[in-house]
Amino acid sequence: MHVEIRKIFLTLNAIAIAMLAWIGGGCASSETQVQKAAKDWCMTIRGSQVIPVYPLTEDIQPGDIFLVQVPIDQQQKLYKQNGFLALDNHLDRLNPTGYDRFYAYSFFVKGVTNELPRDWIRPSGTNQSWLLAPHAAFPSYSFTVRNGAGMNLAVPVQGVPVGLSLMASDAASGTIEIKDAYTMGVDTISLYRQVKDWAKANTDFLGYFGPNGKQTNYLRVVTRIYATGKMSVSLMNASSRSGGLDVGVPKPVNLLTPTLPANSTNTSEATLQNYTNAWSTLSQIVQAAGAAKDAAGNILPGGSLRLTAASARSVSMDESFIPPIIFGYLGFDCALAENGVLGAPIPTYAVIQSGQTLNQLKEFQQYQSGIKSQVELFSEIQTNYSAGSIVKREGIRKKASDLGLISGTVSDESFIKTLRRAIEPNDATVTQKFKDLADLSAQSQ
Amino acid sequence: MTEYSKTVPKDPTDSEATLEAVLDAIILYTQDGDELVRYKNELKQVVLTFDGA
Repeated sequence: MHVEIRKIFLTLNAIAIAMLAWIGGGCASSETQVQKAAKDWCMTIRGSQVIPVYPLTEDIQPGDIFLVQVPIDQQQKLYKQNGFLALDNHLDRLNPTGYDRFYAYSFFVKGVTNELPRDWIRPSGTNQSWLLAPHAAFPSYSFTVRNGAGMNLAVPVQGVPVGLSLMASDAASGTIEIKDAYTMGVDTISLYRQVKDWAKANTDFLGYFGPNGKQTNYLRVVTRIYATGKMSVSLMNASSRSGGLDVGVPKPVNLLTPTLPANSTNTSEATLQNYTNAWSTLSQIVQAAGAAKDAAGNILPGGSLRLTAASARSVSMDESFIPPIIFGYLGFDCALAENGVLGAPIPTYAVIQSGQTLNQLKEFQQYQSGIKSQVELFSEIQTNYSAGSIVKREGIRKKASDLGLISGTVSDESFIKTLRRAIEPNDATVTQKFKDLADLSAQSQ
Repeated sequence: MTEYSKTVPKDPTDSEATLEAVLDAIILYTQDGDELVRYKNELKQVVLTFDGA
């Protein structure tokens, strides 16, 4: 019996070490996996009309000013490609003066001095971080995950890989829920006025970033942030493997269905005791996996994990962030004109949307230009073809076939009808082919 | 029967321009007797399917 217990503990230790290695090293070692985690996570947050912060951090506040040196259409492209807008050029942090007016009749206690954001983020003498701030709620997000084959949702939340390991599963479906969400913000008008004053005082610096040819630079100002204190991850084992080499490999969650003692007289008590012991062991594994430490033994940033439910085919875990961390924001952008003068404030979301609009408009304009050119060239070919000799017509048909505008041999009568179908305004290479054919048809023969 | 499809992107700022582009495309491809058999109004584009008689 003693040997068996020792075997179980050795197995559990090995699993815990493997999970730590996966969470701490294996995942992060691949650049593409990290990028995928960033994108997938951000796409999830974007679904809630909030601009994602990546990586998750505590250190973003209303009044933060960033310099954006990417054109709008490029921003939209990067936003689509990466899922988030980089906040790497942090110019300054203003302390918004509009909080008092903004919250005076709602969340501020009458007669009490409130100093935001400090009094909400880190109230002195207590561990009630963010509890005084307005609450926010977000929907839960579903995802599927498959070991080694990529995820359709990669998230910077430890609960997902830990849960997979517990179930020893190669595939799972699940949900992630942002709980204990809070928000803090300030009105755009008061903050914009502050930013204008700030810009006047820093024209020497901002002057370097005025319009340069086609490129316009922007100041991005954060007006509202969203924080979360807890994320819940639920995973259902979707693995379909039932044979092969995996048979018999012990799963940590199998501890919850222990074998009943053969000679015990009180089976219900023994079962309860076994279950309690197994639950305790599982919880210890989960906590060990969540409390990643550096070489000096300090707990690394991130959340702590707590098992909330488990069965042979499902695991639910809460990941707590103490204090809460910022996962999204809203803000406005101001274009930088000559000498550091600021343009009108445009909501960041609108800037991104207008980027999308610009791209779509570009596509439409390219279509319009394509159809105009191709129809003109087609008309020219049609005229020359109708006026041409039999030999010339044959030559035009052969050239059209060689260019791929028509397929195979087409009769004289149906050539124009077939060629018309080849007009493809969205494809610039087709325009060139029509041009080549028009040039040939214009030659005298 | 030969079916073929043509895609007309939408003008995000002007629905009249989109409508005009779609009508022009229908007129263009049906000049020689081909028929419009169906269309699909998608978020960013309209897909027209013709039957090349």
